[in-house]
Amino acid sequence: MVDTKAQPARTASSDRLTLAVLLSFVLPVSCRYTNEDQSMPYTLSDRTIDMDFIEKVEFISGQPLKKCMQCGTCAAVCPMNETTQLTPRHVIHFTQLGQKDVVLASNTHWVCASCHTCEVRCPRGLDIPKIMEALRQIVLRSNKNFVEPNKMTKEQLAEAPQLAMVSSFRKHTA
Amino acid sequence: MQIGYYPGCTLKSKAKNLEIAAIKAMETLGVELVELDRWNCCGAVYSLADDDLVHLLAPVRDLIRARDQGHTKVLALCSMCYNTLARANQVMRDDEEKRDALNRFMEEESDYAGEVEVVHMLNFLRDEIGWDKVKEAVKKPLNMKVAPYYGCTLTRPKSVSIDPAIDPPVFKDLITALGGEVVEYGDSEVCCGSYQIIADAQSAGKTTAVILNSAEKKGAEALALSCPLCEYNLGRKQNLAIEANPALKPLPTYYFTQLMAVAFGLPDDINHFELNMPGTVELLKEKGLLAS
Repeated sequence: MVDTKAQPARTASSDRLTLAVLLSFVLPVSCRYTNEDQSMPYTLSDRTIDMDFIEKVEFISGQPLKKCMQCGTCAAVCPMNETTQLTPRHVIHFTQLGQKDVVLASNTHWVCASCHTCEVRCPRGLDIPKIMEALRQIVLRSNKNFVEPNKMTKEQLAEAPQLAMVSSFRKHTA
Repeated sequence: MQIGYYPGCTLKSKAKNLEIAAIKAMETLGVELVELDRWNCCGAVYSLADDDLVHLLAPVRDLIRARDQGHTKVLALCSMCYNTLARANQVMRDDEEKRDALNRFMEEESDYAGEVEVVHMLNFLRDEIGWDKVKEAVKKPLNMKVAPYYGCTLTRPKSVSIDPAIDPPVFKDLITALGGEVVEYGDSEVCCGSYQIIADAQSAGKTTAVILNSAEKKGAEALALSCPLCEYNLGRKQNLAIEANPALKPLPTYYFTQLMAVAFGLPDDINHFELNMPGTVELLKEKGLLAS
């Protein structure tokens, strides 16, 4: 339905990129880092850190984002990690840094199946599926669908069990 | 013995094979599943947004129906219904603020504070029936290697887990009681991709391939599960997993209730194998487990 392959796949460079963002955060002045192909600059300053976004995610999820210590356990256990463009760890980090556009441009929160594998293993006790839900809700509450029910194929309608459709529409439609 | 029973949206049509086999198997054990007089879809997934109360109304209404019809327990067969109902029940029991808001909103209903207990059939078998009684009812021991598959919603989050969240024994105990050989494999609680099958079927195929691969490597001849969505992803949509990993062989999947009905020697037609993936009847025939 949605072509997740249209966006660039996660590469080793995104790890270096995160490190760069992390470093920039601890420096007191506005810094500018670019990824390998110099195409996507991230500027961190009080103007580019979206505090509203951070607050909104924390409010909807009820999870204190600062608790995350970036250990990466969630990234290691995520069953969808072949498909996600950012790992859950990346998503939380970019959210901590108020990088709304970066977070919402990735497919991770849509690909998340709310299986709670990361939640039961998080050493900091963060309910990561709730953070993913908050990210979905931020988009869905602006009346944008991820899945269009009227574009389901005849085959899907005939054979998919009801609960597949109910749960998909609950998670992926406004 | 009687117990209140909540079927859920899928069990009356596309997962009839889960429901009918369960009702008949429970009858054999002397338990009557009393379907709630009136029920609605539970919403399939529990809303994870803290400020979203409206999606709690559906499961809570079902729980109110169960209580008003005099049930102290309500049994669910579908893992997702179990999870949604149990978590909604917990909110009503523990979160005073949300409970008050929901009770005020549902003016037409009597106030509810989590009086009903939500149980899954596997739990009920373990706690109220006991494996010994299940063993006594077995007429045709399952002489095959069965891999139990829990999926996500039976064991996570911890607060509603039917068993210890890591390496839970309840499903294995059932298979052993039915005379089957349990296949221990590492991925019995790995997510099957769940509702992603609608948005991006290929990515769901990648996750099911991992599960099927590790079960097959351990010599599984069949997979036992309890959720119609897991059954769809791992069973009827197994071709997606085989596309993702062509080394896989088709692995027949059964609902645990069907395996109970087979082991209890109940008539074949109650199992509605035509709703399962192809190959399920053939395996039972090969093992001499069909009643006719």
